[in-house]
Amino acid sequence: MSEEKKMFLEALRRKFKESPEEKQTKFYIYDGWKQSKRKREFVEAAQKVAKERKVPFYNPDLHLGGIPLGQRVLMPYRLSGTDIYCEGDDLHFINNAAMQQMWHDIRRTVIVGLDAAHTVLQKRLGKEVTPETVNHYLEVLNHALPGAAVVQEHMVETHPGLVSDSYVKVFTGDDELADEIDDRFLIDINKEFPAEQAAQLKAAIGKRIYQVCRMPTLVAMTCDGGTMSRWAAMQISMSMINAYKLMAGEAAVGEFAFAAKHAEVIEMGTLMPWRRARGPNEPGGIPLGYMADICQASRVKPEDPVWVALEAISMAAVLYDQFWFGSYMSGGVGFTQYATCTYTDNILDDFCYYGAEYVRKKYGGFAKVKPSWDVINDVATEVTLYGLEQYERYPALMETHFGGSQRAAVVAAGAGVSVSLVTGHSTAGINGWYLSQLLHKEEMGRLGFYGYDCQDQCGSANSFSWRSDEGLPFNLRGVNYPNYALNVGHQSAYCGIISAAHGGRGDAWTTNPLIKVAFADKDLKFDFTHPRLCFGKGALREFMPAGERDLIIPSH
Amino acid sequence: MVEYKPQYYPGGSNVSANRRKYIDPNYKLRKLRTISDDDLVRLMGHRVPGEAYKSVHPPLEELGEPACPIRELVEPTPGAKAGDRIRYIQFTDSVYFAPLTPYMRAWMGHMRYRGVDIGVLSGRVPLEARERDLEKVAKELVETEIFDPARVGIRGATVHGHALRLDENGLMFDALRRFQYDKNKGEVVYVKDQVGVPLDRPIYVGKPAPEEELRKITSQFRVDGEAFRNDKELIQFVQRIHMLRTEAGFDPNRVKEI
Amino acid sequence: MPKYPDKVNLYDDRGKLFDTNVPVEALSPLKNTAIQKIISYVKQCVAVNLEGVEKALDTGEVGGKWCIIRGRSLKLDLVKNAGSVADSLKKCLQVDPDDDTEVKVLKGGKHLLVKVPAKRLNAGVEYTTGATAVAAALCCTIIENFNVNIWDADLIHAAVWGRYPQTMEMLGGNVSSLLAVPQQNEGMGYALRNIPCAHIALIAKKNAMNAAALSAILEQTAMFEMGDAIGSFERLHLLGLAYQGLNADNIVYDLVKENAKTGTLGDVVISTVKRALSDGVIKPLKKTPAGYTLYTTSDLNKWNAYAAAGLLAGTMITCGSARSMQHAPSVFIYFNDLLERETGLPGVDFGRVTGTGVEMSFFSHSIYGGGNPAVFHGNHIVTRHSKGFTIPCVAAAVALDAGTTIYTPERISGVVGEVLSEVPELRESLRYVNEAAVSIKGGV
Repeated sequence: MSEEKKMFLEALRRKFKESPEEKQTKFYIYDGWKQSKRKREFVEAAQKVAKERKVPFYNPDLHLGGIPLGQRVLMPYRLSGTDIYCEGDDLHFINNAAMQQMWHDIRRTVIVGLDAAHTVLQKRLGKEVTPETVNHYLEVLNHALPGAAVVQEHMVETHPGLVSDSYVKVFTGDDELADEIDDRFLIDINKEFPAEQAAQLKAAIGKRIYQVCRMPTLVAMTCDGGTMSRWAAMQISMSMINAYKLMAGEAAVGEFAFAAKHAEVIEMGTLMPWRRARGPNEPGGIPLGYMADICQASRVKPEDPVWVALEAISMAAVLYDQFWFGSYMSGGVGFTQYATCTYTDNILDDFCYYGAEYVRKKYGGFAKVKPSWDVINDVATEVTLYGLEQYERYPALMETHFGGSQRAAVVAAGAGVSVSLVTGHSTAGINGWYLSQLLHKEEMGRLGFYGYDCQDQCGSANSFSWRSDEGLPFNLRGVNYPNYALNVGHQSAYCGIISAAHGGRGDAWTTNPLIKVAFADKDLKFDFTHPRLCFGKGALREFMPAGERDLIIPSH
Repeated sequence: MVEYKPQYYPGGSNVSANRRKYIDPNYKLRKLRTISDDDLVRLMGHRVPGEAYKSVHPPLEELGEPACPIRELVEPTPGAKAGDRIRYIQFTDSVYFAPLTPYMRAWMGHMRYRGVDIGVLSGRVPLEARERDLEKVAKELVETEIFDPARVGIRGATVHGHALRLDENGLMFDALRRFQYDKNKGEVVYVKDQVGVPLDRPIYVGKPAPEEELRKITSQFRVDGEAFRNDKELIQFVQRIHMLRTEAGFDPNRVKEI
Repeated sequence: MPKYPDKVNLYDDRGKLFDTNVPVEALSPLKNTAIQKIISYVKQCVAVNLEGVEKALDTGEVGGKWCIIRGRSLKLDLVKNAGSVADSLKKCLQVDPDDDTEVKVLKGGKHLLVKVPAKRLNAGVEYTTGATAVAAALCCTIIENFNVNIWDADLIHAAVWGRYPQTMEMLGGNVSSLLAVPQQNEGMGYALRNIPCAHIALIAKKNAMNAAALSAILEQTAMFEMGDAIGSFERLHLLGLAYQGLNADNIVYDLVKENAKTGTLGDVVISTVKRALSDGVIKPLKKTPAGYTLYTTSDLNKWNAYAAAGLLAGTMITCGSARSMQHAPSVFIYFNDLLERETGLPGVDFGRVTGTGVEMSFFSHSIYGGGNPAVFHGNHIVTRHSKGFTIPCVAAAVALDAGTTIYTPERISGVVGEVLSEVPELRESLRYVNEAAVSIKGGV
């Protein structure tokens, strides 16, 4: 990447007074936390609350026994791929409604096949199933799914104003059938995807028809992921009874429930074992490849798989690093800065585009060569060296990624994404990441936090292992894969490594075509085509989430 | 048997040679300064100078050890023998040509010192040992060429600084300002102990080494010093370890004579 | 006819030759009768804290910390009547009058060591039979022997089984097995890995060699159980068990002895390389232009076994000289870092021990932590990465600790470690496994 093209320079100039090449600066003159607008706001809010509740509250002067944060510059961050700048605090998921909504939109989704229910209707109950009956059923379910009654008398119901984001849609690979579904209920593959991607998806899905159920965000916030398929199944079964005029307690009805709860349901995540036990549809159970498919950037710019990977990385950073590791697993204030390094200040963007340019020039494009030691060594090493050299060339860059884990993640992500691009093979990509980590350790003589590189040390041996709990195609691994189950600062980029492999190949999806289509839905609150922009809007407080409770609380 | 001489570290650059040198226990680290025993104790802050060592368990002789052939063979360190607590010293090494890197501290420490527990993080390296053993090790770590007063910090907590630019005096950032530059003396002086408790009197640790000297003795690769890219042997070494680990994960039986 | 050509010399825990030219498969969990007995005892042997039951009934404190059910208590002299409780318990558990059921009264009746007859386990598929049979039989015994009425029977259940079945495990109960309930296993085949090193060290009465041996037996047997020690990978684990856990060819003992007085961890690395070179396991591959010699091997599995033996010796030198367990994870990382940089060959388990060390350092030293090494076992997400090569070293480190922690092995283990140390095959596993290997060496 030539000097003038370096993508991170603009952000570095905005972050620091000195030029990015300057090796010296001044400290201890910034008036501590008072240099930050956000911290000043926090203090003001806390003082008000403390007065009201009469219990001491947030007080940054307690930091280090009286030495407040801000002995150095508290630098702003630029959301990569956008012109939005914000403070670090704005990227903590508690302070960012867009991040919360991204997670809620994923958690509140289940996909349920409709074909088995139709077979039950036709074979066991002698009912006719036509596009008209399907449309009618979907109308009933759109009434019921948010929490309304369809069969029983004297039922309590949910306030539509509180659950307005709950609905059901369907999709199919059959153009004829799709034509007959009411547009209001249809995720239209032909409209949402570029033609080449649509063709791949329709060929995979065929004539089958799937429902995408979105439970209310308020349910996602107050209950758990395991609630979702149960909530959906109950309302689906009730709606079947209503729409097709069935007897409520006959044995055949049990088949609807079984189909909706078990046989035909696709949860976003599977449940977790005892020590980190969580039910289905929690972040720990979502495979990396699913996350790559949930991200919809691939529909927008399929010609730029690097951009697509970077967008996917940002989502995985928020979900896996900020929510899962930072909060579910570790407790405490969370791991915001471990995660944000992958989607701020255009740094990872620069490393990835450097790698993409390198492989395009040397190997004639993406996915043109099969994995080999020559290719993995060449590409992973070159991108790693490039990344490390940038930190050494630009002290402001080093200061931006002041923690080794940040540098390790970003450099290895560049290497892994590049190996994925050149080979079109995500497991080769992750092997490139592991080589990068070993090179980084040797070059700098330092790497990440105390436990950072457990998976990177195990990673070489386990990339292509086929033993019991080691072997697994990379797309299907997630944060319950043993080596990946406890460390922040990896899984964000892992998702991008998968995305890049398939983006390089021109694939319409990475792991699961149904998930790819299920999130091609403009009615979702979060914009899965532009996650970084969305997070930026969240940081600027311009993002409107669902799940608000104004209707049922005193005016405020 | 083939003649064998320990080699400690691969690589073909000066930085690799420096790494090799520091890891090799036969190389005597150059002593650059004297820190009195009492000052070292005060810097670490675990006990008051002159105070007896506190114990975590009775001396081994009183304790009566279980019947174990390994305990019978392995000589306990003096601190273990006495039942000392296990305490620490922790260092932060700047990325700007500090003599050591964090992993170097571990590699060197485990090669040179017995009974030490060393941890490595990107910005700090705690070394824990029985207290009287620790003091002995700490002395060498602070008094010799591997400690530069400006680019190395003795910091128990709030270690932030290794990756930050240097201040106007060439010192690494320290939010707690445990150390300062005394312009009159041209020396670095500690005014707080390693966790930031003010010292009753300052402890001078000497003049920062000139930049040129640091570049000569450093074990850090940097593109503005000696670039890692140019140490092809070391790069190939890492690639080899990665390849061997990967192939072994696939099938250890196929890894032969490579 | 043995599948593998490897033969080893067997030594005891003090470096004394026991037998020569023993096929390594004689040490396999699939063939060695002592290992099979040990595994069986792990399932069969259960500890009862009779004093705990008596106290729980007396105070009404049952089913977990600070659960004190007001108005419910029962004064029963269980400890005083331990002999008759043991007799009744035995009768209740027996399938046949002369079967292998055993109930041993320990510490003046405070504890019981119970061996459930193998027939009970053979009649089911789950290893929990040991604990469930003892808990149920103990309830039965107490209710019958002490004529407990219908209104108090639930309290007996809680004093014995704890809060189960509201909980998955016997929370606050007084019957304990080495094995945790299956729901607490990380994955398939992890049962034998779910035994904290505190138990192992206490069972071995803090003999570090025996602690490492027992731990290696359990860990490597688990590798067979989880499907890792099979096909291309069986020999890797067999050699690992032999050289690291069972002191084959006396490598562990020799390396410790060589560095016992003044050696550092680095010195053990150098001794390990020397030994591998002199035994022809590795050889120089080439010299680089800078003069560094890269080594190679034609037998990576054996190199791994030598490195694993060196790792245990390095642990014994470092943790032994400091008489402290906390040093163990640092050893796991830096023994391997130094070994790789010394030879150009991969470290133990090809990076997986280094990775485990990285994680274990973090979890045993930081706010994200989960305690000192005594609470660690191979069933944890921190430690499961290395397939059997790390935990034996942790067990040895725990055995060598002179008392540096507040949560001591005794405090962590409760009664189970102490009680099970009464089983000779568990306590001195190295001896029994060696004897069994010699007895079958001609027939493998």
